[in-house]
Amino acid sequence: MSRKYDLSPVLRDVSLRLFSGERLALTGPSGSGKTTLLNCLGGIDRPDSGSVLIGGEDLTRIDGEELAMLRRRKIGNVFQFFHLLPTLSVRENVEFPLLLLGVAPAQRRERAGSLLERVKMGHRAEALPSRLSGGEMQRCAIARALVHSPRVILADEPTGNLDSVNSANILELLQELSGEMETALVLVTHSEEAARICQREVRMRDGVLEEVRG
Amino acid sequence: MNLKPVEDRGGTARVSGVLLRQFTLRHWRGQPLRALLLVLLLSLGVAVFLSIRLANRAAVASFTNFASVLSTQADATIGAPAGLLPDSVLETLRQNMAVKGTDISAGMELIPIVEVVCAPPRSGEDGGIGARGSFTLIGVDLVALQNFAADQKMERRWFEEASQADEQNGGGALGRLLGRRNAVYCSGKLAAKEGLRVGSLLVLVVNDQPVSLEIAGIIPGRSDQPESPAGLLVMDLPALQELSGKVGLLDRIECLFPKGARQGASRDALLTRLRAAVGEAGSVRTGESRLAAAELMTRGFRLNLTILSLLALLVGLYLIFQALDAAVVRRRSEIAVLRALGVRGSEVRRAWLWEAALLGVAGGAVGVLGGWALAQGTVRAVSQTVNSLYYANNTEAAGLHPGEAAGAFLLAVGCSVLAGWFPAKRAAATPPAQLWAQGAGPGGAEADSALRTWVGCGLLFGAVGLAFCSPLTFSGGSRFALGGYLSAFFGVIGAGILAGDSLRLVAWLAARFSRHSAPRQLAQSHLRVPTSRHRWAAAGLLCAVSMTGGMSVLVGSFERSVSEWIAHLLQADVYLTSDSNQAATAYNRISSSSWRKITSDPAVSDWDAMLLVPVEFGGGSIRVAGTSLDFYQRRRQFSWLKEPLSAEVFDRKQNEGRCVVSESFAERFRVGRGARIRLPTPKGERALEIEGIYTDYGDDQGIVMVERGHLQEWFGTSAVSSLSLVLKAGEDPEAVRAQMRASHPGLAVFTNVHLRGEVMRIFRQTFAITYALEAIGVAVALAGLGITLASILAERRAELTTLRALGMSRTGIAGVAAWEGAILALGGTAGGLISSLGLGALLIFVINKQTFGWTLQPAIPLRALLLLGVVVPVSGAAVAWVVGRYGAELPSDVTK
Ligand SMILES: Nc1ncnc2c1ncn2[C@@H]1O[C@H](COP(=O)(O)OP(=O)(O)OP(=O)(O)O)[C@@H](O)[C@H]1O
Ligand SMILES: [Mg+2]
Repeated sequence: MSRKYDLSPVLRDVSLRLFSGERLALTGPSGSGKTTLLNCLGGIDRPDSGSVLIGGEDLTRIDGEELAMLRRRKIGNVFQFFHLLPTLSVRENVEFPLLLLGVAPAQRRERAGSLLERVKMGHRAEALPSRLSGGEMQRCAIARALVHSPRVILADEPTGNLDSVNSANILELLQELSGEMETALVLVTHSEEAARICQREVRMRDGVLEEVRG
Repeated sequence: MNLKPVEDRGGTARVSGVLLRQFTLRHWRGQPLRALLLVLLLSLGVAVFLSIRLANRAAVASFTNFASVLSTQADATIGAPAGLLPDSVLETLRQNMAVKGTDISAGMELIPIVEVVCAPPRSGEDGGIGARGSFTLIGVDLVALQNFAADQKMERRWFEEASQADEQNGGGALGRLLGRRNAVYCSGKLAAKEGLRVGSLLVLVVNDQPVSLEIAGIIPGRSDQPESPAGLLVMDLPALQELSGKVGLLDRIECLFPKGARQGASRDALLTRLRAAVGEAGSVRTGESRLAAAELMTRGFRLNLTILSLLALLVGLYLIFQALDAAVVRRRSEIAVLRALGVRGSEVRRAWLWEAALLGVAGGAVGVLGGWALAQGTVRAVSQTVNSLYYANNTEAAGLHPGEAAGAFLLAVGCSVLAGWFPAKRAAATPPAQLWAQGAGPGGAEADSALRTWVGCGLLFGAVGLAFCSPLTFSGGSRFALGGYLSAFFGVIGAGILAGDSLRLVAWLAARFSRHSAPRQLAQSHLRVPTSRHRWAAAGLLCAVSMTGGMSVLVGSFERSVSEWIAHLLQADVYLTSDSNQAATAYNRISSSSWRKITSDPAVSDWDAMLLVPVEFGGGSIRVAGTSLDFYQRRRQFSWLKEPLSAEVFDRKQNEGRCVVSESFAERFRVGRGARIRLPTPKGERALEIEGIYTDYGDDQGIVMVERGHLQEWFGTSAVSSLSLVLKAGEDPEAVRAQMRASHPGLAVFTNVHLRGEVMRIFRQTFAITYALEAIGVAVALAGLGITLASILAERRAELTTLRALGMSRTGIAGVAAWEGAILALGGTAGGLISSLGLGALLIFVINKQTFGWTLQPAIPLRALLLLGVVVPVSGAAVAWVVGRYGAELPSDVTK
C-alpha cells in the first residue's frame, strides 16, 4: 500500500503480512512513517492505494461505519500521544471499549480492575487524565487497548515514557497476551529491549520497509 | 494475566446514551456558565415569540359576545348592515320563527342587545387618549332572560343570587336592576379591581354626558367558563336604550339555537330560515364568523408582531448553530479518539442531536415560563394598540394557552435539533486521522467559500424577486404580504451568509490602523480566514442590526409622513369629541343641542362637524364619515393621492351621490377614482361615485367620506361624532378649551397642539412593542458575540498561554480580544446597516403598503442608524474585552 501527504509520499508500496499470535517490531527514524503505517493498519487512516486485509476482510473496501465496528471488535490501539478521553477517569477510560461492546457492568469493572492492577495503575483508577504523569497516561492507554482482547494490538512506542522496571512489566504483559490469546502485535519502538520480545523486526526508512530479523 | 475474549453485545442506542452521559453532560458540567447562558438566550427567543402570541390571543379573545357570558357562544348574530336594527325586527322574527312544539326553531332564544362602549370621565388633566380604558355597557332584556333561564336551567345563578339577596336586604339585585333606571351588573373582576360593592356608584360618560350607574349585582362567574371580561357591565335593555339615545333601536340580536339544532343540517336549516325572516333589514352572522371578523380585522397587525417576534428566535437560532459548531471544533480531537476506538459515525451524530435536543428542551421549558411572564407586559401594549386601531377591549392578563405553549416548546426543540444537524454531520463524517490533523491547527476555516458566496447571492436575488409578488388576499378584503415577508427572510439569511466575507474587508481596513501593534496584528491574523464561528457571530449581528435598522427606517418614514399629514389635516384650533371615545369602536356622539350650542359660541368663527358610522361593506367593516366637504376643501385639509377632477363634490347642493375614499379603502377593495360603490344605509343602499382618494394614516380598514347632511339624513340622526372649531383672531385656544371643558364635563376638548401630540403618541405606541422586540434581538446577538469569542479564546488556549509566557499582561490579552470583537462587530454591523436600507425599503413599499394600504414618504433616520452603528461595535468590543480579560485567566493558571 501507499500513502501520500500533500503529494509527498510517506509510505511507498509497503507490504506486510502478519499472522495471529505473531509479534512484530517496527523500528525506524523519526518521521519515517511508522505512525502512518499503524494508522492505515488500524483503519484510522486510509491508504491512497493498496489494501489492508484483516482475516480476509479488506479495510479499504468497507465504509466508515463498518470500519468503526471492526476497530471496536478487533483492534486495540496504543496511541503515541495516548489520547485519553479527558472527561473520563482512568477506570472509565479503560472500561470504555467494553462499554461499546455492551459488556455487563460487573464484568467491565472486573476486567478493567485487573488490567489496571497489572499495569500498576490500580491506585490511580479514579483520577482524571489531566492529573496524570506522562508514564501514567501511557500505562492507562495500554490497559485501554488490551481490555477487550482485540485480535490485533497496534502499539505506538508504548514504553517511550516509562522507566526500565515499568517498561519490562509492560513488555511482559504484551508478550503474555499475544501468546495466550493468539493476538497479533505490532510494536513501534526505538528500544532494543522492546524489539527483543518480538519474533520479527522490520525497519522503516523513507517509506520503505526492510526486514531486519526473523 | 488471563483475559477471556468478549463478544459484541452492543446496541447503538446505548452507545449514544453513554456518549451523552460521559461526554456531553460532563462538558456542560465543566462549563456550567456557558451552558446556562446558551439556554437562557434560546429561551429568551422563545419567550419573546410566545409572549407575543399569547398577548395576541388574549386581545382577540377579549372580543366576545354577550351570550358567552351566559354560558355559551351565540349560534348566530343579527345586525344591521349599517346603523341600528329597529325593535320591530325582533317582533317579526318572533312571529316568523313560530313557537310550535315540533318546529325546529322551538326553544330558540333571541337576545336583543344594545351595546355602548364608554369610558369613565376624566379627572383633572389626565393621560392621553386610550389611557383610561373602555367599558362595554350591554343592555339585555332581563325579564325575558329570567324566563329563559327558568326554561333552560342554563344560568340560574344570575337570578338565584338575586333572590337570595332579596331575602337578605329586601331589594334583590334583579329587583334593583329593574326598578332603578341606571342600575347595572358588573363583572367580579371589575368589582375587585375598583373596590365596587352592591350599591356603590360608577360614573361613566355616555355620549356627551357623565352618568352615575349603581352597581346592582355581580355577574356570577362559572368555574367551567372563562370569566366574563373585566370591562363588561350589564343593564336592562329599555334603560340603556333610553340612556344612549337608542330608543326603539337595537345594536344586534344574539340567537341561541335549541339544543338539537346547534350543529349539522338542522343548524343550517335554521340559519336559512333566520336569513329569510330577517330579509333586507339585517344580516345574519354565525358566532364563528363574528369572532373571525375580529380576527380578520387584526390579522395584519398580529401577523406583523408575530413575525417580528420571530427575530429574537432567529438570532437565538444563530447562536445555537454557532455554539454547537464551536463545540464540535473544541471537541474535535476527542471525537477522533472516540472514532479510533470504534464508535461509529452514526452514534456520534446521534449523540450530538441528543445534545441539541436537550438544549432545546431546556431552552424551551425556560422560554415557555418566561414567555408567559413576559406576556403579562406585552398584553398591555398589544391591547392598547388594538384598542386605538381596531376595537374596544380591556385585556389585562394573558393566560398560558396549552397549544401555544406546546407550539413554542416544540419550536425550540425543533430549531435546536436543526441547528445541531450540520455540526453533527460534520463531526461524524471526517475520518479520525484528519480530525487529529485539524485539531492541531487553527481549525474551522472552510474551503467551500465559493459555494457559500453563490448561495448567499442566490438568496439575495430571490429576495428581490419575491418583493414584487402580490399579497395573499383573505375574504373580507384583508391582505397578507407573504412575498414581502419571505423576501425579508431570504434577504436577511442571504446577507448573513455573506457577512463572513465582509469580515475580511473590515480586517483589511483595520490592518491600516494597526501596523505597529503586535496584539492587533495577532487579532487580525485570526480574521483573515474567518472560522465558521466568526461567521455565525457576524451573521447573527447582521440579522439583528438589519432588522432593527430596517424597522427604524420604517418608523422614521412613518413619523415623517404622519407629521406632514397632520400638519395638513389639523388646521382648526379646537377639537371636541365625546370623552368616552377612547377606543376605535366607541361611537359616542355629541347631541345636536350640545353641538349647536358649542358652534354658536362667540369665539368661534368657522366650524365643521363630523359624523362617523360603522358600516358593513364587501364582507368586512368600514367607516363612513359625514363632514362638510366644503370646509375641508376651503381649509386645504385633504392630502390627496388622487384629487377630484371637478369641484362639484365639495358643493353641498351637487354632491349627493359623490364621495371621496381613503387610500386604505381603495387598496382594500381595489377601486380607483371614478368607480361606483353601493353603500348600505338604514334607508336602503346608496350608489356613490368615488371622486377622489386621500391619505389617512389613522385608519387601515377604509373610510368613505360624504357630505354630513346626507349621512345624517340616511342614518336619521342629528348628532355628530366630533367638532372642529376655527377661532376668531385673537382668541386663545387654551382659554376656550378650559371654558368648554368646564361647561361640558362629558366632552374631550383638544387644542391643535395637544391633538397633534396625541396622534403622534398613538403612532409611537403602536411601534413600541416592535422596538422592544428589536432591542431584545440586538441584545441576544451581542451576548452571542460574547459566547463566540469565549469559545474561540478557549480554543486558542495554547496560543494565549504562549502569549502570557512571553510576558503579555491580562489586559494586553483582553486588548487582543477586544480588537477582534470590535472587528467582528463592525463587520456584522456594517453589513447589517447596508441590508437595513434594503429591508427598510421592503417594509415601506411592499409590506406596509400591502398590509395597511398606506403610501409612506421614505425617510432615513440617520441618527438612529448612526447610534446603532456606534453602539453595537462598541458593546461588541466591550463584551470581547471582558471575555478576554477573564478568558485569559485559565491559561495563565496553567502556566503557574
Ligand atoms: N496529517 C499529516 N499531514 C501532513 N503530513 C503528515 C501528516 N501526518 C504525518 N505527516 C508527515 O508524514 C511523515 C511521517 O509521519 P509519522 O507520524 O508516520 O512518522 P513517525 O515515523 O511515526 O515518526 P516519530 O517516530 O517521530 O513518531 C512525517 O514527515 C510527517 O511530517
Ligand atoms: Mg510516530
